Amino acid sequence: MATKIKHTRIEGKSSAYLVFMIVAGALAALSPLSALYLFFEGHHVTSMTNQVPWGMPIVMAIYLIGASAGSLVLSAMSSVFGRAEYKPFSRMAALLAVLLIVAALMAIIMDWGRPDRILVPFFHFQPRSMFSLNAILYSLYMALGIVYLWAMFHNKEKLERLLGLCAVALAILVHSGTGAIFGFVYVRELYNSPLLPPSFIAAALSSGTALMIITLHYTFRFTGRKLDERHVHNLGKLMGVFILVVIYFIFIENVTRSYAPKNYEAASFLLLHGGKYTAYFWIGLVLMGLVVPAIIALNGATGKSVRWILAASWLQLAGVMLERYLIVIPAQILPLEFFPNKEITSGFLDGQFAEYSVSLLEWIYSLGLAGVVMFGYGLAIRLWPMVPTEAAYPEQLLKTN
Amino acid sequence: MLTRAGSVVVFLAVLAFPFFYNLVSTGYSSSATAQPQLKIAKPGKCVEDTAWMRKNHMKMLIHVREKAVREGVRSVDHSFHGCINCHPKREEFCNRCHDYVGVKPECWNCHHYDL
Amino acid sequence: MALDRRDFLTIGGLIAAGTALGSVGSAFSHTASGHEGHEAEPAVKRTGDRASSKNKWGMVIDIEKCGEGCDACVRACRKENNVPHFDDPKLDIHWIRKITFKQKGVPGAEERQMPAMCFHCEHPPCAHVCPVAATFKRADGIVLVDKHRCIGCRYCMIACPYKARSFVSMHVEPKPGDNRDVPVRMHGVVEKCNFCVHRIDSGEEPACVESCRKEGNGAMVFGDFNDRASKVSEMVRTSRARRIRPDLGCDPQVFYMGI
Ligand code: HEC
Ligand code: HEC
Ligand code: HEC
Repeated sequence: MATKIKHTRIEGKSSAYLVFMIVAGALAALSPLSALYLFFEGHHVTSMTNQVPWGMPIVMAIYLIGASAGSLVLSAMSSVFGRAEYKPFSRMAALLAVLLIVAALMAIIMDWGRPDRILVPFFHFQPRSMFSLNAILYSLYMALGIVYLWAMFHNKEKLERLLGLCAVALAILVHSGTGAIFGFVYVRELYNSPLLPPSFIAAALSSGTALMIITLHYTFRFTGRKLDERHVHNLGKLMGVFILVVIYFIFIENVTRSYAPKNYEAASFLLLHGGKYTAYFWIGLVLMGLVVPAIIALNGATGKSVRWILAASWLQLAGVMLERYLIVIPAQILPLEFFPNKEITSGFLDGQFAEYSVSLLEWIYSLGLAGVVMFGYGLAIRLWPMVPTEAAYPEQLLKTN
Repeated sequence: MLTRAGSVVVFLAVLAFPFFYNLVSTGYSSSATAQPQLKIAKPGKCVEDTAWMRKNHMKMLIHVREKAVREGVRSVDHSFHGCINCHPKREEFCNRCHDYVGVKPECWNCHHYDL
Repeated sequence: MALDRRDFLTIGGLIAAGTALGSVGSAFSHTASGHEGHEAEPAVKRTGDRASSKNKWGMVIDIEKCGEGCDACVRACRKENNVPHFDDPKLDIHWIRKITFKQKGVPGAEERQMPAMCFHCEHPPCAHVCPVAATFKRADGIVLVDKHRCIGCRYCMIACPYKARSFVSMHVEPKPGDNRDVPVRMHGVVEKCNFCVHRIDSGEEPACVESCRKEGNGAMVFGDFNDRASKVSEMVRTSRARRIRPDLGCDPQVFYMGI
């Protein structure tokens, strides 16, 4: 490494820090509270029903896992792929990866009908279930992330490199597994797609990068430390390219689906006449969540402005959240087909489009998870030397440019 | 402002909350004075040795349950149908012990015992 | 900094790895499907016997006989299995339901009714996705939910093509008037039709079939597909017996005649 990077704990004396921690702590407290309420009341307090069994908690879970996998890959860029310009925020990225996977696991488990049976999955392994495989992958991934962070702290470069490599491999596996939870469900046209695992990884990388940009910027601004703008430009470009890959996957997936006449109904529901889902898809996801941030990030002028890149990152974060929502929900809204070419009705709402809108409790639940990540981050950078005193841009890279 | 050690303590306290809550709410300390008075409705012999039952009835019930639900081997006297024949009132038998030791089996959420 | 070759290779590699995983995963998820293989002695199950693969329980429903507006099977099921009403169609639990169907896009098309429940698939997708094997296929082909083990993740409800499953989302207590042979429910656990397994285990037929014969029109027949002489075996040998969504390959053990 060209320059030695010095990390220190933040002072945590500013009122901004105090406010941040109070807000984050309050939000984080919502998480167990909403979970307890859900556990004792039952799921009738949410808008999840027998028609739409999976709601916002699952959306949050895959979103958080994605951001975690993306962060971990970014963190390993320097040690594993030898990119010195990623070194300054390697620790922060690994920290985020661990916090995000913890929040993701909370999202999944607190949403179970019986979270008190938390130990059951560890005693009954089921290799054919994506959930069961993922339970093992997630736990391994979390453990590895923590050891990786530890290795970074103790400047064990060789170990860090090795662990980083394993962690990246595992991150990819973990997130492919997450995509497979949906991709392998062959009875619902809007889920079943071999593209979901890789498409999940692309979205993980883009949202992870967006989150990193935001975290970097605000952390350095509020601690008054110096961040070379070129870091943000660089990450912005990277995010732009990742977004292009996401667009590519979404395009291929939908075109493939729309091609087969048997899928006309499902495909046109999402793309043409799904009401709010179609609007979310075209305006929310494609336009605001993908195309606009990609243009901002890759355009010469805006791509050199921290403000613009920041805006693009926020858009991208929201866009990927919407992407996850549009993966999880519409497939359940669409009625299951009993007989092709026949109309069915029943007392169990067969053959009808289901209804779902995020309930108050699910919002609180989701905000709580965000609070857990924020609070954990604030606490960790106060307790351990995570943030570099100065994030200079490695000079030898400038020469090659 | 939180010191480093202070925040760790707060964090641990939050983590340990359920433990302490249980300790208080199930009253480990308060009710440990009296021995439970069991009422044996039909004197005679239990399905297994009394001392063994006292110690192992929960394991036995779970074993019987796994057999019944997963393999279809249904037992009459070793499952709840049996217990209730000779111990007809939960309040006067099972619960006396369970309240004493502070266990609350979740079984009664679904199983009709003395209804 | 422009993106250089190394960046692209990195990204490409990540994506290739993801793709590979996807395909390996789907390869092992399909096994050969065989049906009506053995020619075994008809076996009767008695209380205390272990469920055995000598039996293969299933049902044949003749839709032509299924009466319009008749809900004897639904009522019998609710009574037998203590299925409650929540007065909210979105949350209500359905083990069996009557489905009305007609030709799509044909004005004035004839309407037909049929009961639908869990079809106890030979290759149950719900059991494949269950992370704790709470849903499993018993040796005699009945697909069951072990309510003691279910963690309530609802992956099975996502995977079931027939919407056979319900999630208990409200607290329900055992009531004095309940059928005491069947324990009730706890919120946070998924449940579904179990072919009245407690009745099968003591040599009876499911409650819906019994009431269809006694109060309804005798459209439902229950029996052992492994017994070549049974009524159901005879019925499925005719060309009129159909499965619902055979294209999915789950091989339901409930057949319909006259769809
Ligand atoms: C045939 C009648 C009968 C059945 C069936 C039966 N019990 Fe018992 N049980 C008894 C009797 C009588 C005693 C008292 C024995 C004694 O005093 O030595 C007893 C004692 C016990 C005890 C020990 C109480 C103590 O004094 O510490 C336990 C625990 C117990 N039974 C549990 C069960 C459970 C659980 C079941 C259901 C699986 C069951 N019993 C079924 C008759 C029965
Ligand atoms: C002699 C006292 C005694 C009697 C009588 C008794 N139990 Fe228990 N039971 C216990 C104790 C002690 C435990 C807790 C064991 C543990 O937690 O390791 C327990 C635990 C259980 C459990 C397991 C709870 C769990 O969540 O793991 C079940 C089920 C159970 N009892 C059923 C019964 C039934 C049914 C009866 C009445 C027929 C009964 N018991 C009567 C002492 C008793
Ligand atoms: C979520 C509801 C639920 C809870 C909680 C529950 N059970 Fe059950 N249990 C059932 C159902 C439903 C059956 C019937 C399954 C069947 O018939 O295949 C059953 C069956 C059984 C059987 C077999 C009954 C027979 O026919 O022989 C036993 C034994 C049993 N349970 C024990 C327990 C014990 C012990 C507990 C508590 C630790 C418990 N159950 C908690 C729902 C529950």
